[in-house]
Amino acid sequence: MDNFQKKFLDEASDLVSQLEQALLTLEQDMGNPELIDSIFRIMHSLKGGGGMFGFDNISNYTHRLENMYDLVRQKKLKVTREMLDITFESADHITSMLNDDGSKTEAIKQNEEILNKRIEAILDGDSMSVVVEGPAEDDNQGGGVTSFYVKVKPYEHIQRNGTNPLLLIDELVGLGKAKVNIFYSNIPDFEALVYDDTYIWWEVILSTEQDEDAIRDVFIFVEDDCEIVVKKLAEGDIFTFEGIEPLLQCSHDFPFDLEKITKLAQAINALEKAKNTEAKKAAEENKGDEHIKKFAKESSISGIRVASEKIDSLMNLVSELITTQAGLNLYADREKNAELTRIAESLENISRQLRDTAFSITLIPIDYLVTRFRRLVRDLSREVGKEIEFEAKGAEVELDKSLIEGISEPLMHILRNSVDHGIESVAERKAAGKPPAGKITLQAYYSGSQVVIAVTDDGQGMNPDKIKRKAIEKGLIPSDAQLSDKEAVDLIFMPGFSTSEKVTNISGRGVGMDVVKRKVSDIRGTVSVASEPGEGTTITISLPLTLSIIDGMLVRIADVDYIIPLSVIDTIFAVDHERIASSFQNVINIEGVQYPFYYLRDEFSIPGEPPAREEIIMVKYEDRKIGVVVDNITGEYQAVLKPLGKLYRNQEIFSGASILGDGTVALVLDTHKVISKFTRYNDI
Amino acid sequence: MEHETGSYISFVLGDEYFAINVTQVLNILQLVQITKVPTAPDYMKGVINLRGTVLPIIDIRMKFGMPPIEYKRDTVILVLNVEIDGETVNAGILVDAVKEVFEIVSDEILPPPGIGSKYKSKFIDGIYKMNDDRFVMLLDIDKVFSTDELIMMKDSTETSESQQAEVVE
Repeated sequence: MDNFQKKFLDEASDLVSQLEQALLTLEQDMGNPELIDSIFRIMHSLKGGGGMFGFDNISNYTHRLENMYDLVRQKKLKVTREMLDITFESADHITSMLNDDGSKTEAIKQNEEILNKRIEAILDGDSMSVVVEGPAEDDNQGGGVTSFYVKVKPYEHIQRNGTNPLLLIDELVGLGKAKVNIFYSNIPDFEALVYDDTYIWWEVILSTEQDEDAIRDVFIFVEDDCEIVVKKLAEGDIFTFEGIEPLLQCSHDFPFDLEKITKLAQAINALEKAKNTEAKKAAEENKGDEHIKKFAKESSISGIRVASEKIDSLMNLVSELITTQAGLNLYADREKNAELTRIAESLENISRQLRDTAFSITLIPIDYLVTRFRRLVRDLSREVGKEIEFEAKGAEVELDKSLIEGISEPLMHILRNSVDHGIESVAERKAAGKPPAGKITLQAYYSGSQVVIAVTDDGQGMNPDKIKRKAIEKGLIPSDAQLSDKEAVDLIFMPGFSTSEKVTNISGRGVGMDVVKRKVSDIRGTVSVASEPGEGTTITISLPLTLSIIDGMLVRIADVDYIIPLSVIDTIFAVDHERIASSFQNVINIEGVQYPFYYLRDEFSIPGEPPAREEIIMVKYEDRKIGVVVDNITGEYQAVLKPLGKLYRNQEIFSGASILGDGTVALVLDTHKVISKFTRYNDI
Repeated sequence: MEHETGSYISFVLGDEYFAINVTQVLNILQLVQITKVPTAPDYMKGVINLRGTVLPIIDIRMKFGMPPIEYKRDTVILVLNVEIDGETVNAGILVDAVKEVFEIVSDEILPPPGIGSKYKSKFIDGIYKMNDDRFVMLLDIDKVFSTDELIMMKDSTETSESQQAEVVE
């Protein structure tokens, strides 16, 4: 496979996860045109890339999907559940095509045929779900306003049947904007005046959103009592036309110069029309531009792809720089040269910033996993016929990439448990007076140098008594064990514990919370559970911010430095060597408590005389405290963890090494492994 | 026809000369403090800090069944680039002294010794006769690192015993 193909595969799997994300959002907001657009674009990129780099199967398949979404885009098809289901499955299908090494080609083909049939069914059925097109676009430009000339000339007798022509004019003016010209010229001399005859008449220039019929409707009852003339003058609001104002001056007894007004209005209308066509064209072009801009924007935000090896080597260089820096500082301190000290200090400032930036590069937001989780919850809840909402909070919290890899599986397992055991069926929830849809929340946040990820469900919670019974049945605890509710709930982390009464294909796979706990502690995290029967369960995972830096305690045995992670240390006591040497069965009594301990000098076969006073460090091991004895304690130390390398792969009691300020190497102890390796008796 | 040349670096273990192709040698370091890794086999001397990375150090003399190295003025660490199970790894070997870098034309390399020789031939690419009539063994260092067994096979009973001692950690 050449480089370009590899690159395409990388990009394609990115696109597929983008697709899943867009689909999940679309599911919440069916018919959102932007999402449909972006799905279409993803299909298009997959098709184009697939064709270009010789993945014809992908290109052919996505072509069909693209067609489907094109119809949606053109509003000829409506988004349906089935369509979303097909697209979800297509995402899986595309992934399996991308990963196919030739061994699964047959299965993939079969799957594809089924999917194709389903797509066809949708495309054939499109007449059933044709979207009603919106009303034909109004060719009435200028916001649908039209300007009219209205002449109202009542006959003399109009008032005799009770009609007040002024009210008619009022009503007419109320239809829009108007200018009214009034004509008194017909009023006779006072002697000839008949009191209930009407002599005056009006001309009205009206711009209105109503049409001619609405204007005529005003006079519907007086048609026989007056002369009504309605003439359309122009499209648009004539009062805004340039140069028209002098023509619309009202002065009584001088009629509007209709001819001039009409001519000007028509000229202006023609001009507008020409402008509009141009603007329309430009708008369409702009639309295309916007697409490109949007796309360009998206791709520039997403940043660049860097091979993880390059990042690793960057990190190595940075920690090398930090170590060298420490050496320079030592030298500068000794030399007491002001110039040198100044340079060393400013260099240190820069290296620290460089280190922080470099570390931040290795961090990935949890959001990276959330799409997968959302999908998992969605698929599982459908499988078991439950309604479950999944919410992720704090997905912007960042974790070291190796932690992201390590946390994915335990979290998936926890989510599976929540879907399967935690959330009740719709009927059970209704009976318990809960909303029918269950809710699972994943929340991530920073807490000191830790990242906390909590998965909460509002399901049935755990019943401590039931757990206790189960544990006794399985012989995990003695039948007379007195446990608090909290201790009982913690039993779920014991190996061989699984409360699920029937084995389902979701969570009853024979692995339980003990595996979750182990996997989490592999990446130096801790997991805890809190549960309220009937209310729900929260499982909380705490992780160090990064795997490559640990807060440790620097200790010494003979001439070698060791680092013990602070997170496992409970207490430290100083003891006389005499007491250790004279202890029976490696158990020591400190402040009235019996502690088993390991004497590392012996376990490591280190020759030489031990100091008279030694330190015993109590480390947490499962739920007990076990001592490890060292010569002395140097102090707290923030260590950059380095792998010990392949040659020392069998020395698993060391999780790595760290380089100290003076350039020597300290070994990082994995006390968990130390204890399990040196345990001779099963009762410890 | 066979006139390919290669550069080799020669070094001393005890009173014997060995050589490794220079393409596999990254660096020659003065002896520094080595941090011993407890529970590891004895020939694995520990780790050092090589410009910010942790470099494992091997006492190659013990690997060849010789007595452990004594640190002297000429003792140096050769930093090598070796391939173990298809993975490239950096490792340092302790040698008594580094001698010289020389060019070898490939057709001047003699085949590895057969039966009766001191070292297992699978670890030796060939033998080369130097100008001063000394013989230098050209090591296949990848193979040396890929095996847990001892290299010397002079006495089969002795070898198997020490081999067992080696395996026990």
